[in-house]
Amino acid sequence: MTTFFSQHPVLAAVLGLLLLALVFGALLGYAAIRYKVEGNPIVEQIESLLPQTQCGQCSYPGCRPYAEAIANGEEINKCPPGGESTMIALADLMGRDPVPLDADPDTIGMKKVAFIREDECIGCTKCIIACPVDAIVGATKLMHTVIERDCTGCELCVAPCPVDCMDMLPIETTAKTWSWSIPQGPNARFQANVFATDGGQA
Amino acid sequence: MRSLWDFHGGIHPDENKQQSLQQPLADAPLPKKVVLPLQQHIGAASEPIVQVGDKVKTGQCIAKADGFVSANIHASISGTVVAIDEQPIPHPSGMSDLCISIESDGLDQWVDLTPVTDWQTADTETLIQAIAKAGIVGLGGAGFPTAVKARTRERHAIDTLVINAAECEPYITADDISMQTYPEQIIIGAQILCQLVNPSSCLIGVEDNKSDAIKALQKAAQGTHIEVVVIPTKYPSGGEKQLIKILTGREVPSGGLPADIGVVCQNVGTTLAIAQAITLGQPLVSRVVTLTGNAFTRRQNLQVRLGTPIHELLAYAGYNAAIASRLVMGGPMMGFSLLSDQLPVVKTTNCILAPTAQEFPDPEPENPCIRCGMCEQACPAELLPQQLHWFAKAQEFEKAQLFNLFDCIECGACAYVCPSHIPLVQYYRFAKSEIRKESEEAKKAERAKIRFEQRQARLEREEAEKVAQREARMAAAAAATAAKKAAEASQSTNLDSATGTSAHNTAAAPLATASHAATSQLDEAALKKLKIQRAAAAVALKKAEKALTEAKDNGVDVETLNTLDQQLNAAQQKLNTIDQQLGKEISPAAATSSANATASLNAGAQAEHEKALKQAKIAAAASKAAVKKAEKALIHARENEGVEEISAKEQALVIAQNLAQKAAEKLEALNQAPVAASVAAPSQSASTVEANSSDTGQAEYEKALKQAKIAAAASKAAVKKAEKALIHARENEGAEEISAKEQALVIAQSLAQKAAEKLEALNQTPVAASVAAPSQPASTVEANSSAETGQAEYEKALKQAKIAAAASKAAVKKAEKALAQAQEKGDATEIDQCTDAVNSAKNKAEAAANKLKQLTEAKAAIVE
Amino acid sequence: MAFIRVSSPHLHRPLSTHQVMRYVILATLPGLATLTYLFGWGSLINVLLASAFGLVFEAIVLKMRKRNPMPALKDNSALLTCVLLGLALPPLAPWWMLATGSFVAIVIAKQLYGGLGNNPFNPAMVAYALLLIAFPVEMTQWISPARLLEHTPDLVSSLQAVFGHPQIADAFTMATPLDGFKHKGELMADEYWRQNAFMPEKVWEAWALSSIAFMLGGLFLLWKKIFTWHIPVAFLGSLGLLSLLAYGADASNFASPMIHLFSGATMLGAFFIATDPVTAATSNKGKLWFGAGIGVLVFVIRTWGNYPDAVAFSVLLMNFAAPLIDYYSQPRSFGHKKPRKGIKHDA
Repeated sequence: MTTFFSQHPVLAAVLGLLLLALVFGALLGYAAIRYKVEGNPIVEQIESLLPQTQCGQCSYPGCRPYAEAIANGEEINKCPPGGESTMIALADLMGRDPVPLDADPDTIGMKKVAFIREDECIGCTKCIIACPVDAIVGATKLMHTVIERDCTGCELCVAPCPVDCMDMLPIETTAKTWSWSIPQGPNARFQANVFATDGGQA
Repeated sequence: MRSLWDFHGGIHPDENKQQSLQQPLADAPLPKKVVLPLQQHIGAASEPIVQVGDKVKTGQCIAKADGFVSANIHASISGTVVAIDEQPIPHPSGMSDLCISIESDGLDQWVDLTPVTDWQTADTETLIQAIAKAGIVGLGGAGFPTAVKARTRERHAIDTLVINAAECEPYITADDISMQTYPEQIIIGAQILCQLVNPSSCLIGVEDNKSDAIKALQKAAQGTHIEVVVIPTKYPSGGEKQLIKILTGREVPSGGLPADIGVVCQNVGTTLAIAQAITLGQPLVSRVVTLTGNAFTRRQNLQVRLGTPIHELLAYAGYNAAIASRLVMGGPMMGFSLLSDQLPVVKTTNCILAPTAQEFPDPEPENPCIRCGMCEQACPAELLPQQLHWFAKAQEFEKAQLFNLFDCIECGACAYVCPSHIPLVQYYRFAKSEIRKESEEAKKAERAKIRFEQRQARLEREEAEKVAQREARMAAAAAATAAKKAAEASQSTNLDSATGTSAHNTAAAPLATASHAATSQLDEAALKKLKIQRAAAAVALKKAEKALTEAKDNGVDVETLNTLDQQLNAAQQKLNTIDQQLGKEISPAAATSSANATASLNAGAQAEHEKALKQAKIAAAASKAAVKKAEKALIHARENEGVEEISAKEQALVIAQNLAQKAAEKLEALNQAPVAASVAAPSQSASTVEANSSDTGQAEYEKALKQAKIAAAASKAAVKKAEKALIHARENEGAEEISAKEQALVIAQSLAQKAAEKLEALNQTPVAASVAAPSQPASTVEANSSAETGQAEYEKALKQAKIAAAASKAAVKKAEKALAQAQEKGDATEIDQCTDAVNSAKNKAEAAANKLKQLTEAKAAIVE
Repeated sequence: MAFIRVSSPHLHRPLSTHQVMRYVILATLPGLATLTYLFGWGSLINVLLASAFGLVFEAIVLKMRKRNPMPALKDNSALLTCVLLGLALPPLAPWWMLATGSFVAIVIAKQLYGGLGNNPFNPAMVAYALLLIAFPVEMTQWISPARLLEHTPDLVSSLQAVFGHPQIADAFTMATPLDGFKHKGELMADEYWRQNAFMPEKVWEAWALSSIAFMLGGLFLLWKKIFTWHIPVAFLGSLGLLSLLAYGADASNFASPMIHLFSGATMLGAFFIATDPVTAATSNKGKLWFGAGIGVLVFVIRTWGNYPDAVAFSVLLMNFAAPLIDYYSQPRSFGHKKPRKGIKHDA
């Protein structure tokens, strides 16, 4: 045996490597099964980042279809209600570069709620039909009203209204929703020329 | 001597308490006007029960607790309610909130007070009710409704009652002076609380810098089992969790309540208010406020009526605006700076601080953190303040939470010791509110997702039902045609035999009838033709729509879109023309066929028919309008294409698509309406029913309709109520556990809404039913009996609708009850019970939906 | 009066960063005075020169970073760094070494990392380590105690030594006790002590005295609660314990605990270097680990390493470890049963 291998060094090397490959292959295979990470399907993860306004501004009928589209390579910048933060979260998740949002910069991320000017409402139910989250209540020829809490601010109810009695009102800060802003931080007076390293440490 | 424990950290700022203790407690002058915010406590804002112009007396309840965690508000002077509107409230935001303003009449007339004289023997409920009635909330600062806290015994085993008299904040002496002035009443208050909570020990924790108060309390407590425990002075020993740790050695678990470790803690001021509410019947209309700081010339404690404008107090205490550096409500450690002096004193105002620039210099600029760790040595919650500060600064909120940000009590000890003058507490407040906002948004997104998915499921289900119904109708129609053909065949044989032998005919087929039959046959043939045409046109329209949609989807050029649009319009017009013809065709048919009927009946039929036609026309017009809107949207789309604003175009297209779809739906409705009319008109004309019976039917129908409407309204109201309840829930409870219940409630709500929709459907269908009811006599023998049967059927259906409405109402009520329970608990311990309640609510609402489905089916039966 | 919105608390302890730094600088004075008394003007010149260089560098680099230099200069942090560097360097070090050291400490080790609070390594020790590696001879020659020599270097010759005539300094320098012990070669400990007869007497005394002076300064800071006892105690404790064990086991090959604790930079390191909060661990438990780690490393490097003293390297190595220590030494928070171990994302 030994003499055989010493006479055929190439064969010995090949066999040796083969053996090693077998052992490590088996080891890796075992590890792959043993330590398998049960990850969320990517679509679920994307969907969980989307704001669920179901507004269709991304040109997809709802947030899930858009999530599916992103998983299939669609751009990540088509969600104005989610704003910058959603886009960045998507970029993080998908490992893509952040891209500027594809929307009017003034409206990005602005939280709004639909409001029906109730004395003008004729009770046509069109907005009820349009609402993707059933956040408008009312009946034919009876005044409708928006369940403010459930309204996602998608604006889908505005266009169908024949008498234009729908308004999209920005959600205003009240004493209840008011909160302290972040302090300016050290060097507040020199914010104009801040080096990248000064942003904060963590 | 009782053994005491210590808590980690803490600081020893200058106490500065003597300044305000030189004078005894005095009454502040009566205010000329008071402004009482509806939200002076934790929980839901109170509901006003007075109106502008009402005369009120001191102590009269002017706003009722709204929900479980809420509190009554009482007029603090006698006079006239002059406004219920938004007024600036004392809040760090400097914003406004709903307030009741009362202008004093200068008399200070009190309402009749009803003390609980025999409180030693009174039962728990009476006492709690009295406390709730008096509108007492925690006067230490948080403002949690005391009556709710007093109920903790119902859910937790309590062995220790802690009266918090530590008053650890510098400057403030409101509790100190209260203890010196009313020691007996405080002991009585503690005894009342003992009666409510039934603890084995009752401890009053007082810091050792209040020797006079300690002496007074110890004297008053002699002979009771209440123990006055003197604790070393250290800020923040007056923090609820810290005081409990000092006195009992137990730590309130993170995110938990003192009750979880068998302790209830009440502020000493609250205890005094309880004593006054029970023994004197006095509601909470005033409180002790410390006016201190070197910008005052008279630094003292005052008994101040709630709602008193601060500037009146400032003037009374000799406030010198020139030397004041700021105005603070509360203590120097946890109070907030005021943005105006036109603000009222509220239930939680324990101190108004007007320091000079020497006392409170303007905040120094923030320096970089040098990680000195002094904050960590000071933190009473044993957190890593500087670590939290880094996370808050970098907006790494997840990490901040992992470092127990929410255990921070915002005592300010860290910021006090920070040599870099970092506003640490502000960082934490910012991070906390951002985290709350984020979770709120996540919750909202989750709810929106659920609602969206449920809606999708419902639409699919409805679509499936529609398809099934259409198939059933087509089958029925096929059967009817077959039957008719058979009848025709037999009739023609009859005619032949009549011309021939006239022997085969037995009795009931006179010539007139036959000829009439022939005429109606002719009409029917024409009608049929028109109907076929109409169907073809409808198909064409649909095709055009589809082509348009496809074109839009594929992004074809403008011209194609244009053409398609025109095609759509053409199809639409064709359809309209046919519909008109159909209408015309029906009326002559009716006219011819009504030759046999009586004049009055004829008129009735005509009216009925015209009504149907009108409806059809309205529907047609509506659909036309919708299509026009779609056109408009398309034009917009075209315009925008040039500018390459693709997103805008897409949006417009989506809208156009929606509208086109709606137009189609309307047209479908239109489609059905004339059919019904056409069915109804001839059959009515053919019927031999008396005018009377028809009228009765109509009246019956109208009555039924009314009732159905009422039912619908009731269910709508139920929905509103549910919504309101939900809003309260949201306001009252910060606890996350409730959110699950809330979600379930939302489901219940949507089901209730569905009930409303079904009822609305009922609203529409009776038109068909009532039309059908008179028409039935034509096919059956007796008009009256059939009408009665129809009516009975209908009433049954109505009853079911009512039951459904009641059920949905009950469901909502149950949900409310569950909510109330959740509020009562305010913690996660007994979610199961609530979940059950909510489940049952859901079931009920589902039952309602089912019943209403049955009703729809029954109605269908009547039509048939 | 303007109505201003300020987050609570409205009260602040009157102790600012610059005061903290000032206290630390003040606390070095006994040590500096003792060094000057025993070893001549060298250390004082070191400190003054390094501080001057340091402040100039700080101002220049802040200008380049488009910052207002005044607040940063006033916070005394650069001054403290340079004072510590000056104390750590051998007396009569040539001016260019001080300049290089100050530059490395202020510009590279501090400002390039983002300035005060953002530097992961102790600036003074980074500079010291760099100089030690770059100029090993100059760095290990410590001036002999003035009282031992007949002709002590006066102020003028000291200045001459610093500015351009290092050979003057050579006349006064000798190895430190630690260095001497390190290079005793094959000699046994008692033989070494015998051969250098005066060494244990006077030199040892001088080193011990200055160590005690630094310790007194450190105790003053402890009393003022500028830092907590954890790091010094853990550092000195672990170093003392290890050297005691080693000395007890083999007295002829290991230095005694006394030499470890009261010579070299041990006391300066324990109270002034390792306690630099910016670069140390933060929690109390973490500080114990941090200090103990330094003690162990000091012992190991002194005993088996190539360099006679080891405080700089040990502190820098533990600076590396500080984030890790922080990560695993979070305290138990109020109301929690267990302390958190690091950051877990599945929580």
